[in-house]
Amino acid sequence: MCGICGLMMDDSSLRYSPVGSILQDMMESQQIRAQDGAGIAIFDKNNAGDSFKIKNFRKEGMSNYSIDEVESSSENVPENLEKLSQDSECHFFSFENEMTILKETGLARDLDRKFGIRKMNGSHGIGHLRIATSSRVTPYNTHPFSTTIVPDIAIVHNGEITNYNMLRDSLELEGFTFHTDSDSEVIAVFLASKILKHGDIERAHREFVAKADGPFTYIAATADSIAIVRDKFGTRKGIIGYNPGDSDHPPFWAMATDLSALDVVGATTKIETPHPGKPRIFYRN
Amino acid sequence: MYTLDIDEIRALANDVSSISSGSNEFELLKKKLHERFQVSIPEGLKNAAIEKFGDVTSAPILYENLTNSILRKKVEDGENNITIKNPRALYRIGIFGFSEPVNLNLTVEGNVGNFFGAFCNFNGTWTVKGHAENGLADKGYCGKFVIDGLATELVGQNNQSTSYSHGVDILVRKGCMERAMAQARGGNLVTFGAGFNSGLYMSDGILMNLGEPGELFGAGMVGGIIYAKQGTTTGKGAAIRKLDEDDYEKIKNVLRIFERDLDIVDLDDFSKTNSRLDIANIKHEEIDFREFEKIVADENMVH
Repeated sequence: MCGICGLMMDDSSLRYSPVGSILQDMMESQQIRAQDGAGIAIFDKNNAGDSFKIKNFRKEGMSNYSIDEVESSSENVPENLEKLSQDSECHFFSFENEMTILKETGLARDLDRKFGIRKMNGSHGIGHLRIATSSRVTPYNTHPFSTTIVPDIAIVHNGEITNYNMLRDSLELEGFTFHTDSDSEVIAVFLASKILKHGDIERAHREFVAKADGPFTYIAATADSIAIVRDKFGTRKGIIGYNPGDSDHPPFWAMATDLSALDVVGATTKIETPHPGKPRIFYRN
Repeated sequence: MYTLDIDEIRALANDVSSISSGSNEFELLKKKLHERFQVSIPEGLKNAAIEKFGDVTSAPILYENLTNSILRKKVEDGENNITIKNPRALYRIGIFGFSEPVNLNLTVEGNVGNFFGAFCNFNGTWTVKGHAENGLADKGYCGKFVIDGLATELVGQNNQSTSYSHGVDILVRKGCMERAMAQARGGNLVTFGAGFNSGLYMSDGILMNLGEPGELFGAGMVGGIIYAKQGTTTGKGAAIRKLDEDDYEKIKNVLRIFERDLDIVDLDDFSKTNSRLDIANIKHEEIDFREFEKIVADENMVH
């Protein structure tokens, strides 16, 4: 029973849109669903540049992890990824240009205390509250998941991908690398593989829905888009709402597992539910 | 008439939190709540709240528990008209645990969270002036619900028909998401739209979808009836049949429950030969039940 959320600001040209603060409110309001881990991915085009960050969790002692960040130019990204993949104490968690992923075990408010989520600005973002069902409670198994295939892609997921092994096997045969034991990672890797192949994110989502079995809703973000996608039978919920702008926020679209997350940030106009199996995508303007 | 503003409980808890911590916080909160609402919070809640949410006052289970305790006490004191303000989609409001039906009209100004009115057992109407989430009236015994907005999955799930209850009657004005009336054993749902797999495993009761045709209705149903517009598809185990005279009588009886809510004119005259009704939901519309069919258990699959 994980909780997911996301938002896309109407006007991405605003330099200081309070994406972090809105996401944090949405996560805290859904905390009742899950308490094992929390994480966010926030996209801010002011961060975009020629260099990339590769972030890893480095194991320290029995169960502690520190964040290890490697700055890379586009030329030495492959070399740095290769180096990190050889390090058994390292767990990859994000490949970033303008995106920032932060995640940790525990509650959403602890994530904010540690990283200052509320102060983060951007154009859009996604958040996750984890209750562990199929992999260990560790920072690297916490959502969002990213990939080493292309930068700036992140997904959060509620449910199960029941044919995960089959999808993973076929992606590994194509040469794509996985970094965790979580079934959710397959969504990120699948989407990234399709972006490489044809570059059409909407088509990539449709292809995933056609291939994936099981009950799921996921929210996926790239630098230019955010999408909420439900399995073809609608066995996990998802709700979308709009805040037309108020004293606290500029206008934005929000999506979440629970209505409480939309309620708490005033995104209660134009409430709708995404049609099962049909990606609902919002593009950055 | 009693009004409970849940924000008042939140404000009281915030005040306590700002001047105390740990066990001291719980004891002070308990004292203040007893002074203000004459209810107490169980000791077990303290451990559950701290384990899951780090402290007591930020735990949503505290507010669910208090809301239900305060309302239950009011009902026990003889109150039968209650309004809730600022629910903020809190889970599990309206779970009172009365073994006998109570007389209660409840109005909620805002959105309600998962399992609103679960296990309900009341005479009266509970109105939500907002949206409702999963499991609305789950395992309800009796009572009438009117939801002004939409409801997410599993509306009227496990609707109970027993030797002493006929199930819950529900109107959802903006439609339901998937699996409405799943595993229903009684009761009635009138909705303006219903998602995939509605009527899943139904064994009794009536689901009437007055909205657009749905998909995969009635999978695995062994009883009950779904009335829906032509074009609705069925899941395995369900069969589509034409309406007969008896169906018009059943439709009339269900709509009678919501006659005032839907401002239905001339319902008495409704029949197979007079199949049009003017219904005011979000807007006025004329519905011609000749465009409807019924979905029932496929007799070839039920043994």
